[in-house]
Amino acid sequence: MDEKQKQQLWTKMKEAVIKGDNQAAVELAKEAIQLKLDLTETIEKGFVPGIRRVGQLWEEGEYFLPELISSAECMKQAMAVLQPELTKNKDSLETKARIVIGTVEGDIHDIGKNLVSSMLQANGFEIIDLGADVKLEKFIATAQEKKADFICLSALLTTTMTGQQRLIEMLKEQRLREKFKVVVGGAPVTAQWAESIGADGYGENALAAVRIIEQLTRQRREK
Amino acid sequence: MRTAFSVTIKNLGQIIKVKPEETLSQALARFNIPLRFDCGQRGVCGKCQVKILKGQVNPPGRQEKYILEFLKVDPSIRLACLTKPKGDLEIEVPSESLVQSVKILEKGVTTSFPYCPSLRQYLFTLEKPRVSSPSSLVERVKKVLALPELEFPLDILNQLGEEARELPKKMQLVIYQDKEVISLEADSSPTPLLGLAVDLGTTTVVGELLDLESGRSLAVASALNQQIRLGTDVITRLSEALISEGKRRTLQRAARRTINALIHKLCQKTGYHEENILEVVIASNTAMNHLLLGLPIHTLARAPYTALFQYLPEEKAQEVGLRISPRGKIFLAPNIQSFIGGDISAGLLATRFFEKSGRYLYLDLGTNGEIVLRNKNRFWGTSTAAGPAFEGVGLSVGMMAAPGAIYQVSATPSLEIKTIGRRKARGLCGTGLIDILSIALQKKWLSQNGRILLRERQIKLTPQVALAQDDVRKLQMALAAVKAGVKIVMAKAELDFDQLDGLYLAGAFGSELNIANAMAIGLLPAIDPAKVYFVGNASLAGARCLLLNYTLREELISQIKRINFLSLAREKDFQNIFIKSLNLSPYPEKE
Ligand code: B12
Repeated sequence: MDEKQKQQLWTKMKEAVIKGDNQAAVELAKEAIQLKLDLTETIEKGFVPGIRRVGQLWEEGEYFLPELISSAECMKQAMAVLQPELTKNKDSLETKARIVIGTVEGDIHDIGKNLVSSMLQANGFEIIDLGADVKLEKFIATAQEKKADFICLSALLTTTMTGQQRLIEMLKEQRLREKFKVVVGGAPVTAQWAESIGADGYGENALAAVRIIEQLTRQRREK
Repeated sequence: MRTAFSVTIKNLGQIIKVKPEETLSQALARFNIPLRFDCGQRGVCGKCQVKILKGQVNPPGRQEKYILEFLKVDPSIRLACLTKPKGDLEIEVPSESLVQSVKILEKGVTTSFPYCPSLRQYLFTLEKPRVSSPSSLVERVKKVLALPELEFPLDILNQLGEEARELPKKMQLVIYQDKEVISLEADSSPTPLLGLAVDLGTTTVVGELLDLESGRSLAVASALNQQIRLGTDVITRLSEALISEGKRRTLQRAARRTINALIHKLCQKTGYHEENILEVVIASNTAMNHLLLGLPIHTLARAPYTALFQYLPEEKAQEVGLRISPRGKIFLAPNIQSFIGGDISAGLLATRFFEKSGRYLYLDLGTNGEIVLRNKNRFWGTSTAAGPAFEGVGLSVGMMAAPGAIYQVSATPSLEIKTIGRRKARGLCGTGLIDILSIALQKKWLSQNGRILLRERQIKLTPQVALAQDDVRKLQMALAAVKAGVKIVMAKAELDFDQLDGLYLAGAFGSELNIANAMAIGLLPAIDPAKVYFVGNASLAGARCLLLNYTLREELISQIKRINFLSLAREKDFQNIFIKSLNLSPYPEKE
């Protein structure tokens, strides 16, 4: 396959993700495997630019939740096809970081958290999603057990936001604060709140979440 | 002696036969003429007045004379339960003497209820004790009134004793639900018996003063809930109250002060005194009634949002801190479950939701959208968190329905707006927001997924008022929360939208809501518009029902137990349905 054909295939992949066309994305992923293409390159140059463009469209106000969710889902499905092949070839895609995410106890709002999860996954992070109404102890235990880099906490209620604060206090009490980066979000959460409770980062929406986590990951590496 | 006299009721155009031993009231009852006997024909309430136009009747006795004089009525008036004809008669039954049914809703469905307030005034003469039967004064009062269970609080007993220094004496007793003496006076002049119906909303509070003897509305007033400084939605207020007992008390005081200010305003408007108000009925959501009573809300503030109580017996208004008669009572419309509170049970009562069989949807669109569905004999209820976007809160162009708010937009074909008070447009309130969304869709300024297609990325209504992209997004979320809630409830009941017999719409939107527009954007399901009934402030209407007929209280408490509470938080499919519902398009979607 020549460079030009590859370019064409990548363009198709990008478009499939932008349109949220699951079927096309899955077909294209299979095609890449059949053609024995370098899968890491396929992901980086085909699918990832797609999800990045979706992010832009969201920021420009062109896309709203339904589009964002279907694109993220599309990305997930394509990755599900590629992942087993990558593992087989042992050249597993390098995960940027491992993230434990969930909505804090007492709160069942999980739509925003799911979206953040999907976008992070689509952007190459390894996600351990604990779901909604998650006990604070469970975040810490899972993060330790799975040697996670990040704990991401979502809260949509003014009454449950305090769970984010509590978790950071618990980490301090258990002398684990330095082990994990804590990132918080959810509709009532603000940058000021995040700062006041001593979180490492805050994301206003799913895109901002990806951006801050990428930035913190880079900082971590540089150290 | 004749076996019957004929009595012509002039104003009703009816002639009835009355037996000589019969009272007029017995005869009228026999002919199903709905005369008022608040005291059950015991001759102590003075409500069954008739006017004797022609003919002979027995002369009034001492008791009747006392009542007629006390009430200062025309000399031709007699009490039907104490009057027997002595020949053929011509009489008139004034409309005030007929049992009233109370009209409940001004708009939408007109329902009415028989009238039966908690408070009744009884007039009688307490005679000198006879040597032959020295039974206690209390027993004698009970006997005269034929209320063997009547309770006398100690202070009333004290008064009775004082008054009994000199007998006989003409007494006026106000009795609560035929079981407790509320006030006792002797030789006074008639005092008004007033009641107050209140809709204690999270944002707006409305009070209506009513005359409990006639059921007439005297005045209505509204005000902002003073708690608003402590947060615009119930969760924020509950979390404030969680901080400390002091904060909780602050919230309680704010609610109390709001109602007391309304009471003051209503009394000023009508010239009555606060002390004349003897009962208050409040319809409010669960958070509001807990906060008004100053109760701990630890369980209500956190999932799964368990209330401390569902319903309470009538409490002393003084203990709640309401400035009415010191012996006045307060009744709260019963809460259904969790956040579905007394505002909804009252609304359901006003629309007689439990009475007629059929398939009905009751929607109360406020900060929390409440949904109750009836599929014949099964009921479901849920609450969905729409947020206050449709009340104009949290939007760059939103405002509450106040002067200067655009409440109507039409395209003829150029945009025309109407503002409240014909003031200069300052922003959009709920109904205006719905109109502009629908028009923008029609004109293709807006795509169904909510994207503003105009190059400016905003929809200008006036040079100052423009709907921004972010506003549309917030409205979409509020809309989707309601839509998803309705869809899920309908699915639980296995009901199709075209099977609905009617949809009652209560809450924030006034009758200015354009149904076609509301359906076009998917705020209301697209059913036959003739089946949509605006019921306006149904909570206040329900409070009025409960005030004017206390027997409805127990009935409502038992009816609401039929509602199955549905927690949307536990619905796995919520996310999918919610996301699909974000589209600004009519629903149910055509296959
Ligand atoms: C849908 C919804 C529900 C659904 C939830 C279904 C579900 N499975 O999630 C249902 C109907 C069940 C529900 C229930 C309740 N809700 Co609700 N709900 C909403 C609503 C309308 C939308 C939330 C949503 O999904 N938004 C879309 C997503 C994509 O946005 P998001 O969650 O904000 O997430 C984005 C960002 O915040 C960020 N983000 C989110 N998480 C994270 C995490 C990290 C780490 C980062 C970096 C970023 C990030 O990125 C996301 C994507 O861009 C909001 C109103 C609103 N405008 O937010 C009310 C709202 C959140 N709910 C509210 C309330 C009060 C409730 C109830 C208490 C109401 C009730 N009557 O019972 C219950 C509570 C249930 C519980 N125990 O938690 C209030 C909260 C008010 C307050 N002061 O706290 C709101 C704000 C509505 C209001 N104004 O009254 N609700």
